[in-house]
Amino acid sequence: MPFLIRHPQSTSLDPFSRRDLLKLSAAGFLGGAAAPWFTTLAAHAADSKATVEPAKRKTCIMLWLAGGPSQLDTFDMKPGTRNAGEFKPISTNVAGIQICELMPKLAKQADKLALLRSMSTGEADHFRGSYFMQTGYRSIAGTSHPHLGSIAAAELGQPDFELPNFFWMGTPSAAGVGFLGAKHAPFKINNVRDEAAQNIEDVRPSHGFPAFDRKAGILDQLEARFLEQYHGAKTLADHRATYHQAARMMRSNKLSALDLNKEPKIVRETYGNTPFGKSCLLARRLVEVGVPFVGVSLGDFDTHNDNWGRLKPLLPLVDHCMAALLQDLEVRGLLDSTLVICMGEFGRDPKINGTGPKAGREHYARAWTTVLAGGGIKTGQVIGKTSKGGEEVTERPISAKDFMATLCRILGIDDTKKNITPAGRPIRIVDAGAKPVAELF
Amino acid sequence: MSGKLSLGVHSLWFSPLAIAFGTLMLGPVREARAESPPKPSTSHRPAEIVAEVDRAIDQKLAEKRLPASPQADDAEFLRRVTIDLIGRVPTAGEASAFLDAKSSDKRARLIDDLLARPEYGRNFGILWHNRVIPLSTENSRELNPKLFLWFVEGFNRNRPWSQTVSELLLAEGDVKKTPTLGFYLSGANSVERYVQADRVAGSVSQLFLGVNLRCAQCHNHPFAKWKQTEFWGVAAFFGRVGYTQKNKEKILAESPKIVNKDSQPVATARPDATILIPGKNKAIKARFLEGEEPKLDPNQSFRAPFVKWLTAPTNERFAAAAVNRLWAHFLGRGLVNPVDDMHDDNPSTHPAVMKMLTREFAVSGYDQKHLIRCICNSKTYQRGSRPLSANQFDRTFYSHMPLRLLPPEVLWDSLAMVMDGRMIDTKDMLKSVGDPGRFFWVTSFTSQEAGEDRTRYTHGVPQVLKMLNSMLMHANSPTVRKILQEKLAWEKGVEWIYLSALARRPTAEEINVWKKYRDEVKNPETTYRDMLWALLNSGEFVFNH
Repeated sequence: MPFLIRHPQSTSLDPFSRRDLLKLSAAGFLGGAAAPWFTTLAAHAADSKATVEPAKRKTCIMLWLAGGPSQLDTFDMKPGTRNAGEFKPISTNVAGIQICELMPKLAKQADKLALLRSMSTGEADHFRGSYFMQTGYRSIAGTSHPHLGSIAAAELGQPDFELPNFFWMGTPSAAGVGFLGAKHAPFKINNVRDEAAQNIEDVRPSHGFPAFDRKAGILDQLEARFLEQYHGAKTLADHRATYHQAARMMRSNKLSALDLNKEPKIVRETYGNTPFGKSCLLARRLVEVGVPFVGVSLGDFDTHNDNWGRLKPLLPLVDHCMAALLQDLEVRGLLDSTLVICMGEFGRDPKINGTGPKAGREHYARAWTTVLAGGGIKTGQVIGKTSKGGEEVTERPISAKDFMATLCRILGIDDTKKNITPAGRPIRIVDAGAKPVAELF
Repeated sequence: MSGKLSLGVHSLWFSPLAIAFGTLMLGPVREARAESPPKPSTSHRPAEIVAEVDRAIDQKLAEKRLPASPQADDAEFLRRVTIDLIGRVPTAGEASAFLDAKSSDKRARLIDDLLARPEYGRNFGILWHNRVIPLSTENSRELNPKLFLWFVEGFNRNRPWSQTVSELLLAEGDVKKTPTLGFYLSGANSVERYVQADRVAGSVSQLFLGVNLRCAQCHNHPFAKWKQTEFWGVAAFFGRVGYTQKNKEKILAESPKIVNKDSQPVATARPDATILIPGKNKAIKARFLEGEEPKLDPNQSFRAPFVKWLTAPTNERFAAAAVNRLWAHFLGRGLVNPVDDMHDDNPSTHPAVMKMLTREFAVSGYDQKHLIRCICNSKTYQRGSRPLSANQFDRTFYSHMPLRLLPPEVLWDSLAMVMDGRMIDTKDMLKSVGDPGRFFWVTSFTSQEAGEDRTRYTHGVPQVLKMLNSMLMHANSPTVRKILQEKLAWEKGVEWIYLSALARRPTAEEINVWKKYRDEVKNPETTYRDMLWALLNSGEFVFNH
């Protein structure tokens, strides 16, 4: 088959779809009776085993603490200073590392954590900060950079994987679909429920499978004809590919990963019955079957007012669920292959704003903390240092792109690789000049 | 703006009583005139413009040695122009009527008919409402009912575009009662309690000048010539617009009094018409884009002179931006692409066409319906979408019409019609866009990233699952019910489904394929339902071609 040079602006034949066409043609689908090809493909997919076990490829769970969680009240405490605030630090199972007293369970697993205390990123606006931290690029008009999840879906996802490669639960992230397109867009679950059919709307055929297969078969026949008339135009090929993907998902036995009822009761109880707990459990189940990236959002950490009052219920929740998740991953032998990220879009001002019960902290991107776990990195350590009061980074500053390059390296993604935007611009996965945090490897 | 009094022969006209009476009589006459704007004698008949446009396009094709695909047949043309003008697919009745009509000018008549439908105003009302009101982070868009209805009315009455834009930008008054304030109130232009002059500058430039100045807000534009001073020069004109209270009602006004205390987080214009670039301590004087610094009276509106400059016939950018957007709407791609990036380093692919249409639009008094006739009657617009081997890679020179994904609103309105018998309620425009099911569907199918570029396929698995399995797609469609109730013969039944779903008749081969299906399924009703389902899920339905 002739190699076709693909101009980014052309409607050139996608080699994959033409191969598809020829295959179907050879099998006589283009003129013969409506054959249940959907069944055939799905059966084939179920039969084919991934050449690499899902667990050996890296996956990622991002716990997104929306609003900008306060580092001085969580992972970079400053006791005895004017900025200290209400909460006190406690010791952890790693000598020399202290975290907030409201997170005793994580304190017992500090050996699994790497605290990056020297984040310095400069974007203290919610949308801009979220966008920056989740794409590695500043938001500019005219380009929609892909979310790290979309990048992971594109780079780590297996082409015939039956589920979406990128899930997002809770409030949507600032980064949207991005220029990598619908195929790598996040599959959103607003509220995690117990059954697969509740978690994925319209995944079940209305009248069962034989009926579905029958009409899907003839649909595909019509589509093949139409596609021929357009010389395999890319948009049509994309449309058809998405239909194939959807059909595969409908019949996939991996759908049961979204069925929380299938998890033993004791495990469900360990994570707890809260939306965040359920989401963490679902995240584990998804990476377990090979989904490369799952994001779980929890809010609201934007504590301009009543900082301590609002963190009092939130931090134990994060503590409980994240500790359960880390333990669960470890017990299943998944911790080394699963990178867990815990972060928000920025931190909060060490200097307390106001007095009394309504006191709070403003946005702060000059010096703040992100937490990494799993993924085979060196944990049980603190990276970087902030000043006595927390206002400045004193050692080893980490920029947003350094951070993104680090995540890519952990996940085995080549951050120098260039993607082409719809306008034809090449954009590296991570901006040039990024330095991954070597201390983690 | 009174029209000429047609001198009735009656002597009564000259008595004072009659004059008073006559003034009353003038009322309705004046209104009727307002419905079609005056046609200056220098504007042309569409046919003349169309010929020139086609000539220029064909010439370019010849230069590039690109053969043109054959013209669209009646079915393809009918469906395309119906979608583009009134925002839904044709009904089966409309399709068979058009396909069977014999007159040689039926395409031109169809264009005129569609332009006269209230759905035309609704379609463009939705389009412009959506350009003014941004999407939320949750991908949904809140309707501003007054703004929407105002746009609808304006398009149906064919209000001159210059007037529409003027009214929008000069809006003031009670926030709850003034439809045109929808522009300033939009989250794109106001934040909480303040109108943001910089956001307004960005919006105005993008929507009405075809330039994306926003990059230049913080620094000189990386890819175009726009400087930070130019951005803020435009913002200055809008730096005294803000919200106040009057009789306990929130109003928007422009006044020196709006100008501000330092505690306000927004840039405001000073009486000398300068604006401080935030964080830079640099004061920029109000300046027309690529033009002069006008002398502004501190006691008068700053934005009024800007609007006057914006919509003046001497400002070609205004007409060009509108022409480019409309061209992109019909042809899938602007003459300048992206449509809001019109500058010297991003020239038009067809300067002659651009110039011709820009001039015609201005000279016609910014008459949108006239411009649409000049575009839709062209051979270029009516070219087929099926590429030839020799032109399949062309996306620039209109050798064939590109495939364009149906916008979410059009998809819903069409599916609701075919699957649920719901026609667009033109007597209650708000109701026609207010259905909660429609809201969720549109939210789900809206793609932030692609924006208005319909040539990209943006549906993902969640959207396809809705098309495959949702309740809407399995409703007891009146399209099928009619076949069963009227006991139509097999071939008539298939024809009805094809006309309803695809606005065309089935080929003999297709009838045969479905006959085999029916013989397998052994149930005509199931066959019809499956047929409708399959056609609505096909690329032929989901794309405008």
